[in-house]
Amino acid sequence: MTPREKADNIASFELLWHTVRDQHPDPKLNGLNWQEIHDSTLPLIENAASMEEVRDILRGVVAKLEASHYSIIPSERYDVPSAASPAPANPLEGTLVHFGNLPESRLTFESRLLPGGAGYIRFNEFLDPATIMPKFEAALKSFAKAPGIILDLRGNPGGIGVMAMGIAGFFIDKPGQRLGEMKMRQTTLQFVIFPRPETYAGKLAILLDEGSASTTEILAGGLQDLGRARIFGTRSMGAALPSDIIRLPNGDGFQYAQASYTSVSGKILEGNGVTPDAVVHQTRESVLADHDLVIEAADNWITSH
Amino acid sequence: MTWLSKPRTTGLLLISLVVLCIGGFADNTSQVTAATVLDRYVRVTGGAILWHAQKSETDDIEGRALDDDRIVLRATITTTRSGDSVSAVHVPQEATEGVFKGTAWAVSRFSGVRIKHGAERDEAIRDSRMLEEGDWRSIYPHAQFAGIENLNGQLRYKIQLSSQTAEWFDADGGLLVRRETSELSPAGPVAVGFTVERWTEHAGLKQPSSLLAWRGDFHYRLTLNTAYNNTSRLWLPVAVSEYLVAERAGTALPNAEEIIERHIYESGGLDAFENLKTQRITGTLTFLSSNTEAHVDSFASDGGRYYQAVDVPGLGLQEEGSDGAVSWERSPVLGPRIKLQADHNGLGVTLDAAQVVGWRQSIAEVRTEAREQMDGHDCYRVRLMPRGNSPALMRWYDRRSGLLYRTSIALATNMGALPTLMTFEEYRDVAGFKWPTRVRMVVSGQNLLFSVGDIRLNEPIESAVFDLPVEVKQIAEKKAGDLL
Repeated sequence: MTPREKADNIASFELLWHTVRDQHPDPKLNGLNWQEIHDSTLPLIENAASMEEVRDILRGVVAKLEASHYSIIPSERYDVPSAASPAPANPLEGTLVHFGNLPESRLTFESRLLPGGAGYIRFNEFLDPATIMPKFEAALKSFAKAPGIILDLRGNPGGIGVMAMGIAGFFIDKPGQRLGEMKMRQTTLQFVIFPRPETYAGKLAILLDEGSASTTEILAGGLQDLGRARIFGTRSMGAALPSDIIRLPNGDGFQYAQASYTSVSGKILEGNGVTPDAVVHQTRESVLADHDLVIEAADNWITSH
Repeated sequence: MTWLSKPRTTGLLLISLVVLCIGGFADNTSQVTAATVLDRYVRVTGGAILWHAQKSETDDIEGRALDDDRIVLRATITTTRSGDSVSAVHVPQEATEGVFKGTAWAVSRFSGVRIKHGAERDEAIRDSRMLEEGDWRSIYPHAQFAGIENLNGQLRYKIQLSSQTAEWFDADGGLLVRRETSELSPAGPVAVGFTVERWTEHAGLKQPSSLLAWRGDFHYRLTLNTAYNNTSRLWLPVAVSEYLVAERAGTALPNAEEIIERHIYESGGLDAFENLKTQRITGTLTFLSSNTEAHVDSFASDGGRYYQAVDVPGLGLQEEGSDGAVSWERSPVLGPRIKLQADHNGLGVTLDAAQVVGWRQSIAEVRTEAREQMDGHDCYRVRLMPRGNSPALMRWYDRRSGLLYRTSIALATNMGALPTLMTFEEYRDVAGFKWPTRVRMVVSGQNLLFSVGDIRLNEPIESAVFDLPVEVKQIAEKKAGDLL
């Protein structure tokens, strides 16, 4: 480590420590003695021998908060486009997207009409609204006569939080509804739903699994609370804290939670996730047979009533 | 700028209470002088001895607009021969002002205590003196007889009291008929005056009890109920006493209205803002934590029309605007939407000039709270309490430049109140204005920077810029249809 790198790492630790102190949604910082953590960690950072060691120390510090949406993103992730993003079924599919300090990732969108007449929509992240939202709207218009829509958000880790409000606006026609609220240190903001000029009134099934997180949970949990969507699959990740990502002086990214989140019915999604109305597990056999039991359950619900 | 907190009609009322002088009157008009006219007036209204027996005069005054009979003024004014006075104004705003032992003061619910200085103090002291006719020779040493005029078929003697003030007296009866003068206003000197409609006798003295008055194009009727020698109303409010103690100690803070008006003056002046018809501002909005830069293009025109487009990488084009009737916004995330009145407008890149000029209309109270150092700037902190239920906002004004340095406000948005701190820096001279070209913002803990690229003021803007987008228009028409 060069003297410059050591200085940058110390500055990075100070920025991280102050950011958590000032922004973490729980002002009691999980009951931790934050100053003591600072004083005991600083010598470790000063004596760290490698960047990986620094990152491990920092990860250990934020892990004490026992909250989601804390991560240290190695600077290399910013230098290698798409390397860190979840691989789509076909790596050549999808569009490279960039937002703020998120590393670049590939965005995929799929929509089709199922044989039973239901519409099916899937996208892998809540990013690039200028692309996703028009596609979503166009798909809904093409499914206007379908008895129901299946929104497949399995494996979707979330993204831009307000997109949950935007998507919900396609399914809620009554103004004044909301998905939930986020409480920051400075204020409390409502995830208000603004009904679109034309909304879809048919059935809505949302598919979740353990990889569904954050914005996905905010959308699914809110629409479930409002009685607008029926959830199929398995319980979501339970990582639903609105967050931001900043770049540290040493080049790494630092994701930190900015707010707590409560769904409209008062459920705390962080640590709990969204519990499906119909729990459906994939089996080894169904996967091998390319047979999606979750889609099938949702499709049956739409077409059988 | 001290005129700004003064009830606009009080000065007129005070100068209207002119009951004049003593002495004989010569029937030979060739010998008519200011002295003969004014002295005769005193005599026909009661006589010098009776006038001088009165130590104070209290007038309950009500003013009603001639066009719709609404009450535009309700006040009680007490003046004394010693020069102390109190005016308690209830309409148009709750305010009290007066003179006590040479200190001219004003207190309003709107902006608290203000001590008058300079020409305003001189005017207040002059107006606070009861029965100025007793001293007309010292007050108007250059009063001149200006001739005989035929007003509505009656002969009137015109007396030019000063270069700006003239009075007309009935040639037969000697009573005051008309007064004309001018007062300062935000737009410059404005003509004010009255004609006497009716006289009433109190304690042997004749006083005007009904006047047809005007201020510029505004015409109204004043009715007065006069009483004498009731000095129980004279007092110095506790708040004024405390202020004077602080002033002597060098810790008094200037009145908030004066601070705000100084900013308006320093950044262009009231006239300039009244004539600010169009704005086009382009620049860059940087989200500092993510180092994301968004291009901003903002237009505004009189009539409440504006359009703003912010192209945020990764989020797309965020638009909002108003054609003067319908306010709207549109973004890839939320789609098109008609905005409610409570939703805030844009980033504040362009100014609502009408709001600058008429800032009092949306504010219920203002107070100067402290003198503080902000980033090395010596500032006054001013708290503004909006009308209605909106939360208070705070502003910091630079003492040296007089310009607004920082605001703290909870912006009302459809998602809730958004705590916002805006710091205005690098004021640049643009078309007669001083305009901030760098605005640092902290919105709910997020740091943003708006850097102005280009500012064009009062240059033509295609009106189509403010047209509603087709899909917004459709929503507006549907909403209107739903209401029918």
